[in-house]
Parts: sequence; C-alpha cells; structure tokens
Amino acid sequence: MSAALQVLWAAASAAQQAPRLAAAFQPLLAAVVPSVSAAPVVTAVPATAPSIAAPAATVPGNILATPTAVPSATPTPTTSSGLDLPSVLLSTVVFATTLAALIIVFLPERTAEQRSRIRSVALGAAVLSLLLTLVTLGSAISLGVAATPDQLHEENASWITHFGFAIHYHLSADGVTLSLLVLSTLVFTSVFLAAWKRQQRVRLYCGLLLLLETSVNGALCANDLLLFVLFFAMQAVPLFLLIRCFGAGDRERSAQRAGIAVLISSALLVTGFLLVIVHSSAHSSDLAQILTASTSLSTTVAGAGFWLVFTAFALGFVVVPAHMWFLSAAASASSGVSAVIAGVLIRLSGYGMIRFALGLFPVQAQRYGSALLVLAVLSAVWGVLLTLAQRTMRRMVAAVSIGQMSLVLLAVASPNTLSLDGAVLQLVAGGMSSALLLLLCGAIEGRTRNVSLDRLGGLAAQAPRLGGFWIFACLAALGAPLIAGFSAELMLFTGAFPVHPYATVLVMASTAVSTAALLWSAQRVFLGPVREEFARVRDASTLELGYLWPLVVFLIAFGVLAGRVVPVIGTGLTTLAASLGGAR
Amino acid sequence: MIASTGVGVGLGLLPALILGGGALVCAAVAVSRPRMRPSLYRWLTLLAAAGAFAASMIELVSLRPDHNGVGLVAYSGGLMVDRFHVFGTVLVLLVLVLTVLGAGTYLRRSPARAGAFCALLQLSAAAAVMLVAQREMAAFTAAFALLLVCLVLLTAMTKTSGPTAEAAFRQVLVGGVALATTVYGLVLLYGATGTTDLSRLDSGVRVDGPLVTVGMALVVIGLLAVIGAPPLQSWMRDTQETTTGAIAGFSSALGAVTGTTVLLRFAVEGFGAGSSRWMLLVTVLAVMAMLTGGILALRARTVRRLIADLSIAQSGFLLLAVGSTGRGIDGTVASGPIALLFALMGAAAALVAALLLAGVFDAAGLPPGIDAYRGVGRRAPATAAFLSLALLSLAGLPPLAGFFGRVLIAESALNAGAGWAVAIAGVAMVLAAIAVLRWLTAMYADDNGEAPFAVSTTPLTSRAAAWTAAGLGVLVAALAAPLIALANGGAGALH
Repeated sequence: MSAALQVLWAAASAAQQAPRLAAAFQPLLAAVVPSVSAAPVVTAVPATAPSIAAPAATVPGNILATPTAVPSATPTPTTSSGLDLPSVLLSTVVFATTLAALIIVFLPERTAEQRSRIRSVALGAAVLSLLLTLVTLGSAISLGVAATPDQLHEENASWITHFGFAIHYHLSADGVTLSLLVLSTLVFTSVFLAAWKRQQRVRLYCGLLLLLETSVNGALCANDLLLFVLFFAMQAVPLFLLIRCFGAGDRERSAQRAGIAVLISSALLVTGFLLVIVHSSAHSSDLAQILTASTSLSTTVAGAGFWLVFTAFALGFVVVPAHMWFLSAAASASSGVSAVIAGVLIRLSGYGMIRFALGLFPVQAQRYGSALLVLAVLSAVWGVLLTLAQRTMRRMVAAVSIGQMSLVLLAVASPNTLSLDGAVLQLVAGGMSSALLLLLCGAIEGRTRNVSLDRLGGLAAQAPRLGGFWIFACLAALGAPLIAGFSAELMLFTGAFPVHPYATVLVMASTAVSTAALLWSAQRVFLGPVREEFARVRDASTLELGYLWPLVVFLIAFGVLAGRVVPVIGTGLTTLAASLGGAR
Repeated sequence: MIASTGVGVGLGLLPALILGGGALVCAAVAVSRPRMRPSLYRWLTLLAAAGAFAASMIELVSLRPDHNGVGLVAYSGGLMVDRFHVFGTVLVLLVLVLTVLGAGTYLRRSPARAGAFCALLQLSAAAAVMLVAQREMAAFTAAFALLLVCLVLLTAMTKTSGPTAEAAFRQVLVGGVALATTVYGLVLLYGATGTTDLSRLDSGVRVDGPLVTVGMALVVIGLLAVIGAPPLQSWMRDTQETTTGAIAGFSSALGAVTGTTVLLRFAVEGFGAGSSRWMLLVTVLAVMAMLTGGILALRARTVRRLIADLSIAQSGFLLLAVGSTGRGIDGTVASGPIALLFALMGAAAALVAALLLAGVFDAAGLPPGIDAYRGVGRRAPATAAFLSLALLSLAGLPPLAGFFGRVLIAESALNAGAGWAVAIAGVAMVLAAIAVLRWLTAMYADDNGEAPFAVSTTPLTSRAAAWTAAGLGVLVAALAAPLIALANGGAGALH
C-alpha cells in the first residue's frame, strides 16, 4: 500500500507540472485564439490532487457541499467574450453535417471524381464542426469560470408552446459539453478521412455517418429533455444501417442488437423524461427550468424516473450485463464505424448518465449508490475477464472500453466534483484512445487480412509507425502521464477513493490488468519473429497518418493542458455539484 | 357564435355539398360520356377539393371573432360549425388530393372506371366531412353508413382480382357489424338520455350507469372498424393487401382521420371527460392495438402486410390520445385532443405515402415479399428513400412526424394517469421500429441480382404525389410548432 501511495504521489507531483507546461503553450494558444491573454494562468486543480487526504477534507460525506469548493482555475483577466461569433454557432456545429447529408443525397456517384466530391463535402462539414468546436473551447478556456452562457453561444428559444408543456430549442455548451464535442467532432473527422479510399456506396456511407454525427452533436448540445431524446434516438437508424450494410461477419445480428439497444434506450428515456415533465411544476421540458422548479418530485416518481433514465443510459453505456451488443457491433462493423461506436456513442451515454441521471435525480443517485457501485465493480471485473478471453484485436479493444466505462460509473456512484471532473475527462480520453485503437485495427486488418491475435506477429519490422501508434494508444488507454487518461484517472480515483476505497482499488486493479493485456497484444502483434506472410506489409500511409495523428495530438494536448481544460469542465459541473450538495 | 343560423348552416354544409356536387358531376359525365379521358375526372376532383377547401377557410374566417372557435350548433348537434370541423375537413381534403394525384396507375389501367372512382372518392370525403361535424345520433348514422358503403365500393371496384373481391365481401360483413354495433350503442344512449344529442349525456344523466356504459362501449367498438383497430381491423388489412395503393391509402387514411376525430368529439362533447370507464375501455383497446400491430409487424413478410400492421399499431396510439382527455394529474386539462390532431397530420400523410409507394413498386412488377425488396435502395433510390421515410414515420422514429406525435400522446396519457399504457406503448414502438429496420436492411442490402425493374411505369405525377406525401412526414416535424398551435385551435373548439 505504501508503495502504491508513493507511486500515486510521484504521479501527482508530475501532474503538478502540468500547469507550467500549459503556460509554455500559452503563446501557441494565443496565436490560435487572439483574444486569449498571453499571461500564464495558474490553475488550482493540481494543487488539490496530490494529497490523498485532501479530497476527504473537501468531500465530507461523499458530497461536495457547495459550489465554492469546486477546484477551479484562477479567473483569467477578463476580456471580452473571446471571438465575437454569431449566436448560431452551436446550431452550425450541429446542423452543418445535416446540410452536408442533404447535399450529397443529390450528388451523383458514378465516377471516381463524383465519389471524391461526395467525400469532400462530408469531410468539409465534419472539419467545419470541429473547427467551430475548437474555437468555442478556446473561448471557454480563455474566459475561464467567468464565462457566461451567452459568451459560450447558448441558444435558447421557445419552440412548442401550445401544448401541456413547453418545449424549448435550447442548445448550450458548457465545459462538459465542449469537451465531448471535441471528442465527437474529432473522431468523426478522422473516420471521414479514414474512408477516403472507399469506392463502394460512398454516398450512403457518408450520408449515414453525417446523420449520426448530427445526432451525437445535437444530443451533446441539447439542454432540453425532449430535444435531447430527439437527437439521441436519431442514431438508431444510421447506426443500424452502417453496421448492416458496411460491416462484416455476423453483421446482421450485430446490427439488430445495436439497433434494439438504442431503441429500447430511447423508449426508456422518453418515458422517464415525460414522467419528470408531467410531475414537475415547471410545465416545460427545459432542463434548467425543471431543475429550478419550485416543487420537487415525489419519492416514487423520482425513483421510477431515476431507474428509467439510468437503465436507458446503462444500455448505451455498456454496463455489464447489457454489453453484448457493443462487443458484437465493434467486431462486425467497419473500423470507422466501430471507432465511432466505441469512441463516441458509448461516451454519449456516459455524458447522459452524468448530465441527466445524476443531474435530475441526485437524491436517488445517492440512495442507490451501492447498486451503482456493484454494477461498476461488476463491469470492471467482467471487462478484465472479457479482455483476457479475447483472441481478436477488435474485441479486445471493445472489452477494454467496457472497463473504461466502469470508471465513469464508479464516479457516478461516488459523486463529487473531483471524481466527476475525472469522469468527464476520462470519457474524452477513453474515447480518443479507443477510436485510435480501432482505426489502427482497421489498418492492420486491411494489410494482413487477419483479425486473430494468434496469427499476427512481427509487424514492427514492416510497419514501425503503426507499431508506434499502437503502443501510444495502449499507453493512452492505460493512463500514462502526459496523456489525457492520466489526469482523468488520477482525479477519478482520488475523488472516489475516500468514498468507496475497496471498490476503487478493485476497479483500479481491473483497469490496470485490462490495459496490461492490451500492451501484451502490442507485443503479440508487432514484436516477435517476422512472419513470412506479412513480409510485404506496408507501413502507415500519408492518409493514415493524416487521421491518426490528430487523435494523438489531442490526447497529448488534453493531457498536458489538463490544467486549463479541467476548470472548464468544472464550470459545467457547478450546477450538478450544487444539486448534489443539496441532496445531502 | 355566427350571428345568422342560415349562414352558419350554409357554411357548415358547404364543403360537403361541394364534394357531393363534384361526385355527381363525375358520375354524370361518366354516364353520358363513357370514353372521357381519366385526367378530366382527376381535374374535377381537384377542383371540388379546392372549392371545399375555400369553403372551409371561409368558415374559419367567420369563426375568427369567437375565442372558443365555435360558430354554430345546429340540428341538436347534427351540424357543428367550429374549428374542429375545419381542421378535420382540411385533413380529409389532404387525403383526397394526395390519393387522386397518386392514382395515376389505376386510372391508366382502368380508364372506364375513372369517373366512378373519382365520384366515390369525393362522396367518401363528403361523408367524412359530415361525420366530423356530427354530435347527433341520426345524422351520424346516415353519414357513417354512407362512408362505409363508399369504402366498400372503392374496394370492390378492383374486381378483376379474386382476393380483392374477397376483401370487399369481408369489408361488407365487418362494415355491417360495425354499423349495427354503433347503432345499437346509440339506441342504448338514446334510451338513457331521451335525446339524440350526445352532449346531453353529460348533463343530468349518470354517466357511469350500466346502460350508458354499454352504449358507449358499443359506439366505440363500432367506430374502431373505421379506424382499423382491433377487434374489427381485419377488413383494413385485407384492403391494404389486395387493392391498389391509391385505394388502400385512401381507405386507411380516411378511416383513421374520420374515426378518431368522430370518437374524439363524442368523447369530449358527448361522453364527457368525467367517465373513467369509457376512458379505461378506450385505453385498453389502444394498448391491444399497439401490441397487436407491433407483434404482427415483426412477422410481416410482405410490404403491404407490414404497412397494415404498422397502421394498426398507429391506430392504437391515436386511441390512446382519445382516452387522454379530462383533468390531468398536474391539475391542467390533459392534452389528448391536441396530441391527437397533431399526430393525425403525420399519420395520414405517412399512411397514404407508404401505400402509394408500395403501389409504385407493385406497378413496376416487383413482388411484395421482403426478399424481392433486397437492393431496391440502389435500383430505385428515390422511391426507396421516400418509402423508408414513410415507414419510419409510421413506426414513430425521430426526427419524423410520427415520433413527435407519439411523444405528445405519451405525455397526455401520462398526465391523464395512464402510465401503464405509456410503458406498453414504448414496447410497441420498439417492436414496430425493429420491424421497419428489418425492411430497411433488405432495401439497402446488396443487390440480389434480380432483373432491374422500372418505377417509371407509374406516371411521374403519381410518383411525385407519393414522394410529397412522404415528405410531409418531415415537413410536419419541421413545422411542429405552428402545426401544434393549429391543433390547439382545433381542439379548443371541443368543450
């Protein structure tokens, strides 16, 4: 135990260096976002991290009592609102891909040039969404905790009012949303790049991916319950068709399972949300209005609502035992689609778990915390067993993702600002690392025509760059320092340990074992004697470098700049922390 | 209220009179000039529809000063001139126009019957328009009988086909049972109230008395035949499977619109929201319909059967809205009527679209089985895409009109205390969605190597009408806010 503590202390000390490194990147950030001050900003987050005892002091009774206790960045000197962008920015991020999908419906697909045009339109929309998201994130970082919703381009308009309750077109992008938007837009951009050489059914493939991206981005930005469900449920058809039409192996069954999971999840969400809307005095489906409604839900209704919403997200969150659809989908879908599923879609359910299950029902989340904890431990342990049992790369990566999601569930079961900050960062880091791994799986499978770990080996000689990326991705999944996962896991475990020490240790150990298995796969696939059948395997091409490097860069950026990113995430969790504090 | 009774009665009757007049003209021309081009009858029908629409708008304008949207109650409820009537009339006219535009293939193949076909369409629409304005038993019975007869005749017109003749015969039987059941129910209600005005049920009569309860139940069951919900749904499945796309779409959509709007008016203005028994009955029937339709849809092996089963499930949702009236648990009035009227817009368009598009594929020579549809996404991309939209809307998947309608209906049902029904509705939605996804898989799978077919056998006008109907599913969703406001106006006239 003392050795473990010493390791943790050393790691935390290293994390303390993060702000100094962040300061070194300040000029670069200023160059990208001119309104950002060039003065270095010292963040307070790492200062709380190193002490194992400190979180216990700041988390009495497992709850962060007041918002003022939230670790936050020192407010930057104010500036104006960053870039002066129009308030339709979030709508543009969400619907740019829809517009592109509509355009490509009318584009012909007979010649190679026409197919290239389709891919260009799709990629252009994805890149536009990514750039706008990065600009907004830059604004948020520069404004720090002083950022107001208007400054972060919130859009709020009454939509449907002539009914029993009002539905709002309410898009907002707090720190939590922005972080996950970066993940989503980045992964989709990489997937579109990865599909650049596709020649079959390009229009259908790109169209479905664009609709899927609209669904994810819209759900992340939605701050109205029914608007969220609308976007969330939209993923069912594109996901189903992408797996069924472009997958391999047992794609029919995989597509059915994935589609059914999303449909059941959506139905449960609609029921749970409507229960809240009907019983709330807000007469509105706007999340903010419901949270500030004068009368609270009765115990029975809140309990029913919590379990409906939790179960809905648990299905998408791949909590054991509802994980089988994910394993088969990741194995059967094309590498790009499986990267989206593992990197984005399951993380979206994690976001929903934090934003809605925890946000709407803080009392119930704590009352049933033991049950959530059991599920978290079960998922972690089962994830390990699954990882060790897999003989194919894709399924191994998918099993590791199940373990990663168990960390987020652990944070939900022991909610405090530190663990939740870590959970959100873990969603981002885990999403990027999983997407990177699955895209690499696709590259390797395409070269070797082989998916079995037992039949691969010695590829490092022919493909050293691919090997380097794989090892980096494994380290990212493991949570090595300077990569995003490290800060995430540190905060998450530090926040959860005082609340549930034994469960935290179990989950930590499970995570370590499963990611060690992933590293072992690197040894199996890339090291060892060169196999004759792979003698002509080529290394990563320029195109592959083009979609792999951005994921690597962002993983490092989120790791090095954690001190700048975490406070932004923290501002998004302020309301949640307040409701958790009120739930004591 | 409209000041002059004569003007009010004239306005209320005008749409039906114009449609009836159009039917007479078509019939007269068909008899006197049998070789007339089919396109003339189509134009006459469109003209009559335009005239009826203009009459409805005049009716609406005359209602504008009235905040309740009620213009006139004439003949003891035999004619209700109000916004609800206008709303229902516009929906009926929408179905009529889409059908007559989409019936190009049928008119081309059976030019001799074009006149009779268009006349029956208009007469059915006229009967439907009258039904929506009814709250009086005798007038209702007459209009209901006229509607049933017209729908049977439409089915029987395609008499070259054995299954169609059988379907028509079955429709006669079921229609007769439905009419008889409804009349028996109305007789019991007359016995209980001593008047033929259903609104009197709510005043001075024990709403939950056995006579009234049985009477209400019989009326509801009889109307289910028109809606196409269990236990009297078999005729609709047969009609949808055996007749042309246009006739099937018209019968289904008109039945759904008319049956539910009539039942809603009876429910709110007649039975009243105070009676829990009839609401429970309707909710139970709704749940039966949703589950039946969802389970059957999973096993559908032909596209027509799939659409028929989805329409049964959809009728269940519409009935759930009818059962969600009265005071809600949050103290406000449950919004079932608004939800129903909004959902009807998308439902009618999706039904017509799905059946017209299935008719396009039938006309192109494609067998109706799921295996034959493999790869149509590549062979006829536009038609397949619109058929996908229509099926998805029927199943209630976002972001189409069907999803919005179902969410609003679920909210009103939850508010009315029928949470158990909402839970089952969720299950039914998932089942229906899975059934549709199965078909989409086949449609967008790799080509099965079959010989290509040409959808161009259907005239472009008809295909465009079918595409437009499918596109309405997206449009209704996109314009949800103003359309819900319109539905609110229509439902507000019920009291």
